[in-house]
Amino acid sequence: MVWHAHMLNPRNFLEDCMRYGLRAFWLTGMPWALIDKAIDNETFAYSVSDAAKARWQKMTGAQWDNAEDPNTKTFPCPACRKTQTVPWTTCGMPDTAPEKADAPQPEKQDSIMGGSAEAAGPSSPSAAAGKATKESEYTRRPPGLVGDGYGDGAFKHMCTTRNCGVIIDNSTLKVIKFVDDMKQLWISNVPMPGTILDTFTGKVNVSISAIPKADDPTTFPNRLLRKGGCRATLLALFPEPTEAGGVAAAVARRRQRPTMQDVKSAISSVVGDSDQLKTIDGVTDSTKKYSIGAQAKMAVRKMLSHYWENFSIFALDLSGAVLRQGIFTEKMYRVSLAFLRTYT
Amino acid sequence: MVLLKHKSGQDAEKASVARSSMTGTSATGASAAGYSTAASTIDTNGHGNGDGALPPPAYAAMAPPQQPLPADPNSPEARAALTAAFSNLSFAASGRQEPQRDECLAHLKLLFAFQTLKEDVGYTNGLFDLWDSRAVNPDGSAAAAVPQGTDPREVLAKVREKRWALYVARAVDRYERWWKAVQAGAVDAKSEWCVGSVGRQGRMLVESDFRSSTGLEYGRFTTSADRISWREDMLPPPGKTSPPSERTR
Repeated sequence: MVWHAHMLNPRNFLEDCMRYGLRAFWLTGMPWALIDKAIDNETFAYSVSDAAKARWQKMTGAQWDNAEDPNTKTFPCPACRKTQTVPWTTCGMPDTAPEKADAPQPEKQDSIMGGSAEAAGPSSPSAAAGKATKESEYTRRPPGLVGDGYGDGAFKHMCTTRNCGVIIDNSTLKVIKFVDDMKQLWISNVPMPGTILDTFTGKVNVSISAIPKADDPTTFPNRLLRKGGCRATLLALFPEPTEAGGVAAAVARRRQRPTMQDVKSAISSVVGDSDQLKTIDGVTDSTKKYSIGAQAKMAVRKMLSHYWENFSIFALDLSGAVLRQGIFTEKMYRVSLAFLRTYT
Repeated sequence: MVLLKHKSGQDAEKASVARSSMTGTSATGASAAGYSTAASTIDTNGHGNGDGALPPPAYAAMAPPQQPLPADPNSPEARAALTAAFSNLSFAASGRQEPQRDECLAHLKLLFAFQTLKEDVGYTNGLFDLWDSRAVNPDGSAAAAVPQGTDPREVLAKVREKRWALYVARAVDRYERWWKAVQAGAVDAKSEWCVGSVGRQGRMLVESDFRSSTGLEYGRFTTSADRISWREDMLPPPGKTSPPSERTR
C-alpha cells in the first residue's frame, strides 16, 4: 500500500530508486500476476503463504501483521547518538465498556493491541484489573486523540541521556534528516535529494553526464553545501553534549530546537553572497559580482522541498501520500461498484 | 506498472482505470492508445507510443446492456458481477508495455484490497488501545469522556480515523525497513533482487555516477534491461492481513 503510494509520485519514486541503487526494482514495477493471485476475488483480503510471511519477517525484523509490531519506536538522538525509545502513540486508553464474562487474557503482553485478535471483549491487563479506579481516572483526564508519540500529531521527546536533553519533535526530525543527508554528501559523495533529476523534465539529466560543468545548476546545492560558509553553522545544529559549561550549558542546549527555517536561513545567506558563490561555482573573475541563475535557485528550492513536510528516508512524506491515496481509493471503490457492467 | 511510471498525479490514473473498466471487453489496443504522453520519464526512443500524437479513443455508441445495471452496489448481483470481472486475469510477460486490460483490473482489485484494509483497520475495536467505549457506551449514549454537547458519533469517527492514521504511520516505517532490506539484498549479485543484472546495484548513488551517460547507475538507469523475477515469497504485506477481529458500526 505504501509502495503503491510511493509509485504514484513517479519523479520522487525514480529519484529514490536511483539514489538507493534499486535499478531492477524500478524497472520491474509491481508484480501484477502475483498480486492478483494474492487477493481474494470476493473479500479482497490479501493473503500469502507462510513462506512469504517468514521471509518478510527475516528480511525486515518486523511482524507480518502491522498491528503485532511493538508499540515503541527506537531511533538515535541526533546529538549524543544514544538510542531513544518512544511510544508510537500516547492516545491509548483502556476499554471502559462493561466486561464480558470469561474474557481471555491477551497472548502478547507487549503488543500494541489492547486485546488479542481473537478476543471477544476487552482483555487488556489494565482493563481487567483495577478497572474501577482506572476508569474514573480516565474519565477525568482522557488522553485525547492528538498525542505526542512518534506516530502522533504532536510528537515530542527529550533525550534521556544525562547532559544531553535535546528535545526532538516533528520539526527536529526533519532537520535530522537534512543533516544525515548532508553528512552522506560530505563523507560518501551521495548527492542531495532534488539534485539528481533534471529540474524541469524530471528525467535523467543528460547535460551533467557530459564533461562536468563547474557551474551546473542542477547540482548547485551539492556544491553549496560542500563549499559554502553555511557548513559550519549546519554542523553545529546538533552539537555533541559535553560536560563543559555545566547546567547552564545543558539548559541552553535543550532550548536550542533547530528547524528547517534555520537551515534555510543559513543557505540563503550563502546564496546572497557573491564571493562565496564564486568559490562554489569556480568563478575566477574577481572584478564583477556573480550571482546564480534561476535554475540553480530552483534547484535549491527543490532540494529543500524534501524537508519541509517530510522526515522519512524517501523524497516525500508517504504518510500523507497514503492518506490521500485512501481518499481516491474510496471513490474508486464506490464508482466501480455503482457503474460496473456485467463481464461475460 | 508502466501506467504508474508515466503518469504524474492521480487524475490521469483515475481516468485510465475508470475508462478501462467502462470499456469492458473492447480492444485493449484502442483503450491503451490514448495514454501515451510526451512527459514521460524515459527516453522517447522507441518506448511506448513515442510522440503522443495519437488522438484519444472516441467513445463508440454502445448498445444498452442486456440486463439493467445493478442499482445497489452491495447487492448479490453486483458482487457476483465484480467477482466474475476479477476472475481469470492473464498477464503479458513483459512489464514495459502499455497497460493491458487485465493489468488494469488487477490494479483495481488492489485498490479494492486497500479499501478493505482501511475499513478493517478503522472498525477494529481496541486497535492500538483505541476503544469505541471512549466515544459511545454500548447503548449508544455518549461515553463519560466525551465533552458536553459533542456528538458521540463524531468522536467515534475520530477514533476510527486515529486508528488508521497510526496504522499508516507504522506502515511507512515498515516500508522504510523493507526498502533498506531490498537494497541490502540487491548488493548481492546472486540474490533474487537482481538476478541476471549486469551492473552493480544496492549502493547509494554518488556524484561521479553523473559523469557517465552510459553508466547503469545513472545515465542508462531507466533503459537498462535489469529485471527482478518476482516470486510469491518476496511479496510485502499491505499491512494487516488477518480478518477483522471486531466490526462495530
